[in-house]
Formats: sequence, C-alpha cells, structure tokens
Amino acid sequence: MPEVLGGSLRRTGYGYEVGVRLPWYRALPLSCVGFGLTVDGDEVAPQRIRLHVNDRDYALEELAELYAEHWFVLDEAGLRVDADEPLGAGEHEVAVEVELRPPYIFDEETGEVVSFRRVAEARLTVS
Amino acid sequence: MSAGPQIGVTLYSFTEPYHAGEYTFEELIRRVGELGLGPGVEIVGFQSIRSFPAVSDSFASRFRGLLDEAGLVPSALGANIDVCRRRDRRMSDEETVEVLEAQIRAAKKLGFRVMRVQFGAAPDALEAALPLAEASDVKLGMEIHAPHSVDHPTILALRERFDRLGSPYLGFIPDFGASMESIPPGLLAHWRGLDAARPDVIEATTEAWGRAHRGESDPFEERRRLIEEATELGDGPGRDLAALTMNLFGHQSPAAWDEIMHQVVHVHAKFYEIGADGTEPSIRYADLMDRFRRGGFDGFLSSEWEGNLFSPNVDPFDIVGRQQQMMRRYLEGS
Repeated sequence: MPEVLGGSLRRTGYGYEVGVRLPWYRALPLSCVGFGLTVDGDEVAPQRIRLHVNDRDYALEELAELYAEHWFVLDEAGLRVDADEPLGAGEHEVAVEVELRPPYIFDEETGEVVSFRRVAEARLTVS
Repeated sequence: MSAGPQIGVTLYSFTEPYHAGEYTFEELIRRVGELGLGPGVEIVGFQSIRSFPAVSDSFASRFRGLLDEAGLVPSALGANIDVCRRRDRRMSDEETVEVLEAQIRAAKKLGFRVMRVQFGAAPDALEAALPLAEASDVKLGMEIHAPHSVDHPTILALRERFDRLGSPYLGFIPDFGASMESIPPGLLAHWRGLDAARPDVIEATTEAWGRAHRGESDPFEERRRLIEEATELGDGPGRDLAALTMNLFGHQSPAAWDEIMHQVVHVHAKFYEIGADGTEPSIRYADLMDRFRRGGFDGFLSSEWEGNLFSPNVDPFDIVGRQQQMMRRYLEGS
C-alpha cells in the first residue's frame, strides 16, 4: 500500500494542507474513511479539518453520508486545516491516522465491518 | 480432451508498483505480456478503473486492444459487493442486485466472461442477478476466501441455491489461502524481526493457529481469545498480526475442493512466498495442481501474490513468474 503521507505540507490562505494517499489497494467510498491529524504534538480539532478530494472540500463530519462517492487509489487528497495562526517556516512533525472500514469485509457473527487503522508520521518542511 | 487449467495473473499482485506510480494500468498490462505472465489477465474494477463501475466505450476499446497487442486474454473481473457502504444500514437485496448488475455490464463491456463476487451478496441477490449474467455471458463466481471454506454455513447456503438453480453461470472461485498447510514462514520471520515483537504473543498465535488447524478447537473462539490476550498485554502490532494470522491463513483441506470442483469457474492461485527450491512453503501446490487438473478444471489459475503484507522489497513480477513456473512444473509433471 502507498505511504499514507503524500509528503506534502503547504501553506494555504486559511492555514495549511497535508497531502494524503489512501492506504488500501482499491478505491473506497468516502463513508468508509476517517481521519485524525496531529501537528507538532498537538491534535488538530476535527472541526477545523476539511478533506479535499475529487476537486471538492468536505467537512470530516460529512464523510459518513458519502457512500456513493469514492476516493480513487491513485489520487492524493488533502487534509485542509483552518488554523488560527500560520504554520512557521521549516520542519514540522506531522502524524496522520486513517481509519478504514472496507465495506465488503464484515464479521458475519457480529454484523460489524472490520476496521483497519493506519498511522503515518513524518517530519515535513512547509512550502 | 480438456486443455487443462490455464495460467494467468491478477493485477492485484502488482498493487505496490501501481500505487507508487511506477507503472500505469496500461504499462502493467504490457509488462505482463512482455514477461509472459499470462495469457489470463484479471483486474479489480475499483483498483484499475477510476469511473468504475461505469466504463466508457473508449476505455473498453483501449483495454481490449491492449490485451490483443500483448497476446493476453481477459480472465476475470474482480467485482466488490460493498454491502456496508452506508453507516446507518446494510445494503438491501434490491440494492445488491443493482450493484451486481452494474458490474456485470462492466464485465461484458470489457470482455470478461467471469466475474468474482463476494460473500456480502446473498443467495437471493445472486438468483435475481442471474438472468442478466446469463444474457451477458458472464459467469458469477463466489470467492471462497479464508476464513470461509466449502463447508462454512455461508458457502453451504450458496451451494444449496446454486445446486437448485443448476445454472453454469453461478459457481465458485477457490482462493488457495483458504486451504493452507501452515502460517507463512516469511510472516513469522517478519514479526520476530519487529522492534517491539513479543515472543510470547508470537508463540500464543502459532499455537492457537495450530490447534484450530488440527480441529482441536473452534477457530473463531481461538481468534477471539488470542486477540483479547494480545490486547491485554498492550501489544498493538502483535494484536494486528495475530488477527491477520487467524483471518487470512485458512484451515480447509485441499481435498475438500473436490466437493465443488464441477462448479469452479476461476481460481485465485494465492501465494505468499516462493523458496529457493521453487516451492511455496505454506501451501500444498503439488497436491492442488494435481487435484484441479484431474478434476477437469480448464479455466484460469490466476496468480495472486499477497506477500507484500510482510515482504516489502520483493519484485512482484519476478515472484509471480517463479510461482507460475512452479504451477506449470506440477501441471506438466503429473
């Protein structure tokens, strides 16, 4: 599977964006993915994060409804953070947690989808 | 006289270089042709095609042309039955039929005559999709993948329905990972090499797997106990590897495939590693090749390499080639 962290960290008008890749072998519905982000040791509040995918921005809480839209495996998506202050120049410790619930793998006894967690950490230089 | 089982590969085996951008979808197909890893080519729709299950005329025509140029043929389309895509409820049978039919149409457009389906599709949904499958000349193959087996209740219910309907367009796709001999040695070596590896959890896992394999205990109970133990010990990575071990490496005997041989439409020739002696240490390939050849199977043995889970630096093209050499050796020698 690809590295979760695409390796890009860039400043945007409202804060910054972290590039992410889907750590699975096939495209998954957006309703099947969840994210956590920690930058320089501080967990980023989920309400401040939007997922940029398929040329659109979605609040993380919107993803659960999006069962008909897919994140394609070859596409880098972006976690766009609305930050109070700009990210300082230089390196930052970025940790992304992706939770995957592949919609075709479920426990027949409990009826629950099997969930996988992928965590990636890197020191990225902001551009 | 039957031509016997044919050889092919699923592009799933090349997930790593494809995701890394080293090969495009088209380049993978050309490489498969160049290296003689066909003639059968299988793809996973949601991996290879952005718009899937929608397939444009131009994409379909390019795909068919590419296969022709490379001397390859389409073997099977891997469909996915995403029954849990909604957070609030499971997909209904009607919705499942829609999902099946969209992918059957894609299969036909791309030239596939076999489509892999998954256990989320219930017997009723498959029966409802049968008319379109027959009209499209696309056989639906239910994959029997670990932890399922030919006698698991889910599969027994399908066998009963398929037997009742008696259509050649409803069959099975054995995945050899459901009928393994042992835990892949490469997995254990990888696990032991991890910094935070706990020998006690590794040992508990190999013992639990062994007991389940010998039929001394219920595999699901062993898995539950093992994961609980690893969680209590605070071993996160160990818990994940224990779960993987108990889920992926199946206990069905190779001989049991005989029970459904007449309904096999395609095979996932799963493998994890090929040793220096040219054999797969945890899967009885000699026995399986003999069984499928004598059983009259003349569809595709589609090489499916899944060792990327614990062998990140292996060249998938090379290892698929070695696995296919092994399969041919057994098929020709028996």
